[in-house]
Amino acid sequence: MRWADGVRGARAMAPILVGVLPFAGVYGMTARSVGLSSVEAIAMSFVVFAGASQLVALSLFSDGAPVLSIVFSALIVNLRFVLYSASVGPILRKVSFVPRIFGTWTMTDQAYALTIAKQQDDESDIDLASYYFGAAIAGVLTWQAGTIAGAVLGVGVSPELRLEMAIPLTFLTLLINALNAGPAVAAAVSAGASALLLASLPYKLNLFLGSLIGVLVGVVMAKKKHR
Amino acid sequence: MIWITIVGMGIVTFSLRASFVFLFTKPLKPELEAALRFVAPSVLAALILPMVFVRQGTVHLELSADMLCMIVGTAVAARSKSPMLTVLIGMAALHLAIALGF
Repeated sequence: MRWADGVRGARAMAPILVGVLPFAGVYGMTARSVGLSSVEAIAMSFVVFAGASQLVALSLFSDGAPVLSIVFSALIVNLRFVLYSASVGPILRKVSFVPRIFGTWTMTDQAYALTIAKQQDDESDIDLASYYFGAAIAGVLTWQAGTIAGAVLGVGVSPELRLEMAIPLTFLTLLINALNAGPAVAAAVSAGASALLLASLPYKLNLFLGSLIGVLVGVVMAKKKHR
Repeated sequence: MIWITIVGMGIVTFSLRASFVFLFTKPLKPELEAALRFVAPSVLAALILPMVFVRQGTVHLELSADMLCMIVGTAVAARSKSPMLTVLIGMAALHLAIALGF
């Protein structure tokens, strides 16, 4: 581990975290407004530590969805971590067991993206593991701090504020950032349309089937493009 | 029940993160990697649209405060790409629409 490279990772993360902090705050406040205690809201952030899936869980929870549907939604929403795991895996396997577990738990979209960009940047004199841990630690601290602040301040939030609408709004920015090419747009449109058409299915199966259809459409469109 | 949910979500999420760190140490197959790249746009679209248009299992497409909020939010998100601005302006639009009687 190299301290200076860890600091570089954390520094690179700083501008991104300006956006993560309010996202965490929204999660904390929304958790309170759908009926979680502050301990439950904070515990979810520690145990799960994956913002999008936590917000989905809150939205399903307030609809009275069964436990299994909520856990399943976390599987779908967090499936992208398999991709990150494969990219960051070789870096994490160079450190010993305890930090490896810690680095796995703190894996985020942002820490992954920064580390992989740095790796391709081909700057030979940087310890990628230290860089990754710097970014990941900055990320986890920010998320937990924002959650705690939101959960504690969220006590008196009135339902009339309609704070739960912040969830689809934050997802909108994530979606627009993910629409980087034609096949991705086709995937999103078909997934969204299918999720609406299948809305009457129980257990939020429309989320699963809609996502599956979107991925299939994306793969087919990408193949066509390459031909 | 909330604690079972939290632990269940935690196990699932940690397993996904750990998959290629601890279990499979070979690189991802290119086909799988290509498919995983479409997970984010698909899942997000499949999440957002029902949140806005579905109430009690049925699709409602008439103009509502929620829909106006999302239209404004989409415009802000597309221009700024900032979650903070999108939430702030989107929520302002929602309450303006409610005040105007939508």
